Amino acid sequence: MSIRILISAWNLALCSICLLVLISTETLFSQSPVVEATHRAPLWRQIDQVVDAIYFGPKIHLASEPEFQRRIYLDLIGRGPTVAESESYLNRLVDAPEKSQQLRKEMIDDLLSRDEFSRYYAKVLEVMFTERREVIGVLETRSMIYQWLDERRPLNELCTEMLAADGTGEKLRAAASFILNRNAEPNLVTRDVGRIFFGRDVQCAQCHDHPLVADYEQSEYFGILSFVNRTYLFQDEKRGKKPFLGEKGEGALEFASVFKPENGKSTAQPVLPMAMAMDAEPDFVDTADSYVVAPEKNKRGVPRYSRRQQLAVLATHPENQSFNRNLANRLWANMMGMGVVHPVDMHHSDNPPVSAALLRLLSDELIASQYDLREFLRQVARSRAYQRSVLLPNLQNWNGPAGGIETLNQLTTRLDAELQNLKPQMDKLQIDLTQADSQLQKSQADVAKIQIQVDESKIQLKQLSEQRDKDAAKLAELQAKQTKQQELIVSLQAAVKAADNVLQITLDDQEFAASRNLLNTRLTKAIEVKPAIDNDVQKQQESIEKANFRVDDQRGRILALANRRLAFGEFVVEARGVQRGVRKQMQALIDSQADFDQQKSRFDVLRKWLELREQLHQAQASSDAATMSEFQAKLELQQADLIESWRRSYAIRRVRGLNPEQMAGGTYIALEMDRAARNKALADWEANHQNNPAEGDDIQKRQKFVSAAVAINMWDTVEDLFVERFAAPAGAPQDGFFATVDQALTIQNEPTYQSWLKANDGNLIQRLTAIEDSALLANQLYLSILCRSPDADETQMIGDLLRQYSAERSSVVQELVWGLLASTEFRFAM
Amino acid sequence: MSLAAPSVTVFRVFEKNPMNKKQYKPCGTIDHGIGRRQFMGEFLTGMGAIAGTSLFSHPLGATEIAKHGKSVVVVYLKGGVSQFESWDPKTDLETGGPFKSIPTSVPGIHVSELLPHTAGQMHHMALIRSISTDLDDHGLANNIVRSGRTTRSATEYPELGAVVAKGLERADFPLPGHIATMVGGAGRRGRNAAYLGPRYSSVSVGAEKGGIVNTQLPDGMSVSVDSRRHDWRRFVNSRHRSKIQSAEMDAYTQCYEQALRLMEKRELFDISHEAESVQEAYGKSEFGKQMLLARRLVEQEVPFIEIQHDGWDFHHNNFEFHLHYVADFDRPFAHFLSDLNQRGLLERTLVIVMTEFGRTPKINAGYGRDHYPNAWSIALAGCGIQHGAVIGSTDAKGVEVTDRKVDHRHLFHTYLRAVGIDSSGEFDVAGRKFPIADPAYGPIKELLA
Repeated sequence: MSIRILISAWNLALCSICLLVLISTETLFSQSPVVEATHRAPLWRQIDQVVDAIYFGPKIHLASEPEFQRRIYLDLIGRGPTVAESESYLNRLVDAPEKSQQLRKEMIDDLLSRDEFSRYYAKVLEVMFTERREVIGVLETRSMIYQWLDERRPLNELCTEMLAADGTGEKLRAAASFILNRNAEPNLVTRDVGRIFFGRDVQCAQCHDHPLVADYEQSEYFGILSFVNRTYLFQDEKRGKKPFLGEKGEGALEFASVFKPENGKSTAQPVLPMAMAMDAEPDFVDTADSYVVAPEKNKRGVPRYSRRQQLAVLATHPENQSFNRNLANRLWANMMGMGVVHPVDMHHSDNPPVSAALLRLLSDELIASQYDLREFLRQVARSRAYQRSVLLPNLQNWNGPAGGIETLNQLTTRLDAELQNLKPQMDKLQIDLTQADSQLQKSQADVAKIQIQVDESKIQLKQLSEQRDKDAAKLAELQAKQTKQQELIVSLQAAVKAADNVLQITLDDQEFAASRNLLNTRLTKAIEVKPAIDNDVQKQQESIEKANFRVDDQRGRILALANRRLAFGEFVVEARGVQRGVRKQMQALIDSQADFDQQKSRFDVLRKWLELREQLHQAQASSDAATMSEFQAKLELQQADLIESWRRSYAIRRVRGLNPEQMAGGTYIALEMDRAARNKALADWEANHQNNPAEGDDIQKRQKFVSAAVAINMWDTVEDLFVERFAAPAGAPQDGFFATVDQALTIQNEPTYQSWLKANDGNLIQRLTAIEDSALLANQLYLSILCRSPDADETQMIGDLLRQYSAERSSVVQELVWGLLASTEFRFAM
Repeated sequence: MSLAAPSVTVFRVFEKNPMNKKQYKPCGTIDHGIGRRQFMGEFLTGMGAIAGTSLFSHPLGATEIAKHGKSVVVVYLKGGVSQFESWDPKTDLETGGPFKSIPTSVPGIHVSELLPHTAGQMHHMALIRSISTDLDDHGLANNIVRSGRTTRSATEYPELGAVVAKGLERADFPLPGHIATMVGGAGRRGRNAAYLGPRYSSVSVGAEKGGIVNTQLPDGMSVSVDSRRHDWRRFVNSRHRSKIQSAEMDAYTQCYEQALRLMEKRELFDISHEAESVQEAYGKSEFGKQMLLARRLVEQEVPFIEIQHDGWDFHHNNFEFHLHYVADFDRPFAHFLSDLNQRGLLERTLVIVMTEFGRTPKINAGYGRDHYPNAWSIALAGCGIQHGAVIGSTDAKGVEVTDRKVDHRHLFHTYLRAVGIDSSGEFDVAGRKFPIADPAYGPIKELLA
């Protein structure tokens, strides 16, 4: 290859990066970020274009057929292929080896269409959301996600439900597990919304700006926390303390840095990363108005305006770049063993993506596919990046890219120029951002001013209402007095009348006449007093009317202010929109910058390697042994760096440890434990359809029934053992590899595991023991466990062992099986 | 109750001025500096293999100590031991309770008369009497004192054991680095390493017929069959390794070899291998057995060992229960310190008597004491600390801390620093960086040797 061709290839690569930036710049201003996908190359092709553009090494071959088959089976359905599946695939290839790509495509399509895929990925996504936290209440998260995938519903909507669900409604009850499994503890939920939905671990920004990550500010932590801190765990006494999520309709947060307490407190704004914010919040005059159901001891609080619902939408909206990037990155990492950003929960500028162009591509296409999980994985699986071999290229006779070091230097100069070009754009955006920030602050200040008036008015309203209530109490008192007075008058009138009657009978009873006059005097007095009392009542009634007017006035004023605040709030929303737009443009620039920088450092690694090798060659010529071994050592170190940089940028496939589910599925299928389960399921099907032969003959339905039965049996039988020993602890990231002694002890000695190695029910051990020809036995052994045929040495070794210990044949078969299951080749996927 | 008070003269003046440096000897006097340098070297390179580590070692000379790994032993008095009936006795009638204080082997330091044996070991120990935390729920308090962080949710930070196991990790070490002792029963992996990963989680180990779960060959399998299957496994691995290599693959292969070495050492966990007289000296209580197992593990240089002594939550009859519980603790614990010292092990071992909070000065109607996080104490012994130091104090009634208030975060830094782990550093776990201890706090410097 001439330098010119290489340079033009690089031009193309640069263009494609610029193009990507351009495309996304366009999308910035469009209403929807969804890009018309029709006129573009399929994603898998674009992935390869981006990955190839940054790779400057020798040709890397694709994985061999058996390697690819084991890899794709493990990645899509969580188990290796059965012997029958291996043999059938390899036989089809024998007939038409040139059709390898076509057959791989068909295999990918086949696996994605299987029920097994939904079952395995339900587990993968469940682990992503819950990180194996203990289940609180009976929440069938996995089966809910299975249902979701089975119905082929979009992935982002699943994410929305995980945040929105409150545990009511049977169908989506399990979605509440994301928050319930974290005890609805607001700080924990905040951290994990940050990590799992945005790929940003803001935990350390809880008490101060993150000490190690400049991007993570305390306000970001509290931004998320403000959305979730009103949500709480509600246990329904009437339903056996079943857990649900309640939410309050009020409550603001303040925070201060423990490192800089002198800076004072700030009030938290409910905002997500990249300035994703909600519309201005409505205001309610009375606390009671802010609830559909006010929270009480036995009542689950339901606010009229739910911040958590806002979060659910904003967090998972296609406009939310953090969400899209994180989800695309996590799905990609599941397939590739390492995220474009790695660790997957550390998206920030000091930890740039290995290729921002790739991340942008994956994220844009995920949106374009409308979050279709199968389609996304199909495209990734079809890329050469996915299908590459783990084997290292031979660098003995490779002399670097055409033009050697000189080319690298030229390209580096070019990159420097590109980086220079970005600077003025960045400066301009920085100014835009400052303007947007100050506009936002101004709008927020306006809102805050009105808010103060609203708050003050509410206090006044409270005072007025109290005064009104006092007046009302007084009126009641007066009215009681009035009533009593009236009763007194009536009674006295009756008494005087009765006394008059008595006096008509006993005319001369002076003593009684005196009593009668006394009564009459009292009556006169009572009548005299009454108008004053009536007057008091009247006055009090008038004053209450006034008080009521005042209260109503005040309510009206608050409503008016609240409405005014809403109007001002629109400007905050607008300012945030501007801010978001600038942030997105900045992100595009930061992405290009990161890509140029990273490409430069990749060139550096390659250049150093080339220089060292040149020096080694010269040392060889001068045959100075000491210098030679010195260079040799240096070269080896540099070569390790070089290989790692190629692995990191997906030019060479990384060897990956199986996750606990893959270990379980792999072991179950390798030992052919499925045979018994399959037979039982078939018998069950027959028994269930004795009276309905029409449905019984429906092959598709039968297949689904059997495959479901086998999958359930698989997870039930072996999963716990592997999860217990091979999974990271609950609540910790689940994507890391670790090896512990207790894993080895389990495989060596654990009684349950050992019991699977006994011959029974048509399992592998039983089948192998019955094979007399040692070469055939070796072949079936390797196919079933490692999904490949043994080579001559391996076949020879097995033959020798079986001959040498022929008296212990059944034990030797078990040992052979055990040895492969305990091997690195089984534990890792090539 | 017999008061086996050591015959010492009491100088109250020392207690008032615990920082009188002349009076305190740092541990590992001769080669302390060397040991620390060597250790830090290993820590920094992460993989310094120790040459000539014999597994059934004998008492060591100072020069040998420098080559050996440090250990941390935590005796966790679960439920909340009363500081009045242990490390911070008060003579005040209203709050002090019925027990007297006794002098110790360090002039001027007094402890509760319930600790006559431990009092005789005070010259290896230090006390912290000014701990003030703010959580009085067992679970939450337990969480913060173990993790050295303030978190109100479930374990999100690794506990001390996991941090020490990682900080003191050595290549090719055949035993787990974080062990929780039990008497009988099978060992399980704890979930206390958070982001450091299961490699550093506690493994529980029994003192009797003990060991670790799955260290016995499957039923009916002979040793020769076992070695044959491993030979075959090694053959398969070596073929795979000739095609492709990775650190993760090697780590997995190594675990099998480590497992085999561990199986060979099963008897190490069985204290019946100790002479009858030694078992007697530790006492044959559950606690004594675990202390003896702990000593055997310290000999093996296990980085972290925890012994739990449960049930200290005496809301009723506090005094009667403490009478029995402290006695149960006192003799085995004191013997453990003197045994470690005689074998030269105390110079490289930090011993911590931990609990989750103290108990109320107020004695309740049932003669109990309730949870009290405002002012409480712990005891330390062994390496890295000023022996005979008393940090902080409480008022005459034991209600408030009057001097040098500290909390769980200072303690966490202090423990780590005492065994040479730079608590201001950070762990890098597969690219994720975590401060080792709360970065807003630091150690109790005057306590460190």
